[in-house]
Amino acid sequence: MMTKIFIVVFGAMTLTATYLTATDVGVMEPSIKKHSVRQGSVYSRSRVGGYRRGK
Amino acid sequence: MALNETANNCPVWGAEGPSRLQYSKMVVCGYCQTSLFIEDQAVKQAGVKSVLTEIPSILELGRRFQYRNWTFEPYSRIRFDYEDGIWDEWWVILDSGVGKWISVDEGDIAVEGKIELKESPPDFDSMQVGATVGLLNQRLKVTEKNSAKCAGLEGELPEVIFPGDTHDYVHLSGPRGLILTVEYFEDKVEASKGVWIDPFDLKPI
Amino acid sequence: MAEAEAKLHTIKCTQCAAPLTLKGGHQVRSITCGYCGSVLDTKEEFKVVKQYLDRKRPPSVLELGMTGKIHGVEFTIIGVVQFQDDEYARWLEFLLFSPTHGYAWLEDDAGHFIFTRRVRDLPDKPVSAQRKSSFKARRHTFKVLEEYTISISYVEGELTWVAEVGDKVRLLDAIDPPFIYTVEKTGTEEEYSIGEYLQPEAVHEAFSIDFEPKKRYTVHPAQPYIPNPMLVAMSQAGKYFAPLALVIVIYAFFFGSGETLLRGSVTPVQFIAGAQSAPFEVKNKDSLLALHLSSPLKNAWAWFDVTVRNEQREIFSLSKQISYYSGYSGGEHWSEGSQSTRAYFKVPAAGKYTLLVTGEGGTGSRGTKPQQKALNVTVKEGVIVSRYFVILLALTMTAFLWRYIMRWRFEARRWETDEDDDD
Repeated sequence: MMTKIFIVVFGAMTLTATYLTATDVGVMEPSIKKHSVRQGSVYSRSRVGGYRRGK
Repeated sequence: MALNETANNCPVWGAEGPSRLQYSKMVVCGYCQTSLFIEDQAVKQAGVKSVLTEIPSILELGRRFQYRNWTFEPYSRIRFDYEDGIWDEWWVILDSGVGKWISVDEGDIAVEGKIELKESPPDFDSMQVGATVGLLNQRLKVTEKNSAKCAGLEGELPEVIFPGDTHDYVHLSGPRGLILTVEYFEDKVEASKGVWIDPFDLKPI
Repeated sequence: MAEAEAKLHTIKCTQCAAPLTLKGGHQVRSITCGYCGSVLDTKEEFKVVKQYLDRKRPPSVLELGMTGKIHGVEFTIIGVVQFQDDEYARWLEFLLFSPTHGYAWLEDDAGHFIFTRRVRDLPDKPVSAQRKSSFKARRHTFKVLEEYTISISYVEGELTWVAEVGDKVRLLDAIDPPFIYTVEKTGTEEEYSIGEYLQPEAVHEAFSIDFEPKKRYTVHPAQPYIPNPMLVAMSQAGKYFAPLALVIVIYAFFFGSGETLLRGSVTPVQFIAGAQSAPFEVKNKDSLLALHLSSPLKNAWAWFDVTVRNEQREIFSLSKQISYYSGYSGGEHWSEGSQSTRAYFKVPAAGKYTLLVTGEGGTGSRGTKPQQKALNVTVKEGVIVSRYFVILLALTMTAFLWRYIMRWRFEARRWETDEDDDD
């Protein structure tokens, strides 16, 4: 009885994993359509380069 | 051995006695508790009443029991009174037809078989509890030395014994649970070898 | 012959005249009065052999006089002995009597109940005191637990010998849960007994004890491991899904890395100015694309803007950082960051695309010029990201194994009862 419940739960988890993998949920890099202000790295003390205008 | 029909009935009551056992030499009439012995195709009254007080017991007459791969039915019981208390000797017949004695003393149950001793055992008076004796090619220890009185009978017995009869006996124990009992009667000395059985392995069926 | 009631005997204590009921059979040798602590010899007309004053009866849910059925046989509690070992752990052993099945013991050890009887079944070979050595007896294989000495600290009621406080017994225990085989050494002789662990609920029910048994905080050596039914169910379900998840993860590993569309490298001079890659063709707009950037930096960082463009325009851009620092501190090696990074993306339509890579970097913590290491760029199509199945695998494996881990821990506690504490 309890085993059946767990089988249903794990089955649902497997289906969820399949769906998420097939649709690439949460995987893709957030795209930045326009060039954004570059923040520079954590390690740099000064901003290198400047603003770039997008097209 | 077919017994004459009238000779088979209790001389006191006329109640029907047992008919079949080739072993039976002695019978206690179930109605009047009179001991009878079978001799020469006639049932003779031994004239002694034997009444057994009832105590809870693992075995019962007329019921079948199982121990491991044996099935058997008790046919008689002899009660012995000894210094510390009482015990019962049950005569049981296995399904195979073989008869055995089972000794029951509270939870201590042993199946015994008569054996011939090659060497004659020391006489009763010389046996000491705790001493070692050489018998059956082994060193055995005397664990009990006592006198037992027959306190009652029930059923059909393979031998003749009367309530009130006493005999001396000695129990010896050996390695691996071996028990040897030597019984000293007026005219003979008998020995039997025993094996302990676990009461929880003994069940009615 | 019908079952008859066992005869009961009542006597007056020869010391204090308290009424004492004798419920045992003729093997009883002594009765210790619960009121005045006098030990009376039943074979010597109840002569007072010893007297123990100022006693406190150790507490238990079991009491003298109680009756209960164990394995279908009714037993009466007729006596009790409290034992202690050399670590001062104490427990009670109650002497039981049945007119048909004789004498037995019921031990109460911190809420664990063990039903013990004398047996004549000898071990198949001499028993060694070596822990975990094994022998066979009574159709079981027993493993030796320990050899130890116990002494009596309290007696009451009827016993089959004249027991005295301070008497010592040397024992050896061997287990095959729920059974425990004990060898008792007295001089040159040995006596054997087998104990069986009884579940507390069963004992309470057998002796008509109304309340729930108290919680057990220790694991008794003979205590059988009873798995939690939920863990069993979870394990049985996990048994099917864990291999399934594993197969999928392995498949994704071998077949999910995708087809390489672009592979190239860019020098720092190039990426500072901005470098355009060779074109690459995406065959299917729904395929997941992976961009890998890597550079063997050491104690340096670099930021990259990558713009994906088709022939007409920019589609989108993304920013990624690579930084890797390492060193020694106090003799130990440390490292931080990674020499590679990865981003997943999709394009709106199949066709030709190029990448425009611009970067900056520095060395150490103040550098403003990128380290002179090339950047490797790879684009792959048809990538399968297995992370969700990896999570599923971790969960289903845990579900499958949890019950065995709990069992392993229980067995470790069973055997730790007598590990030597060296400190």
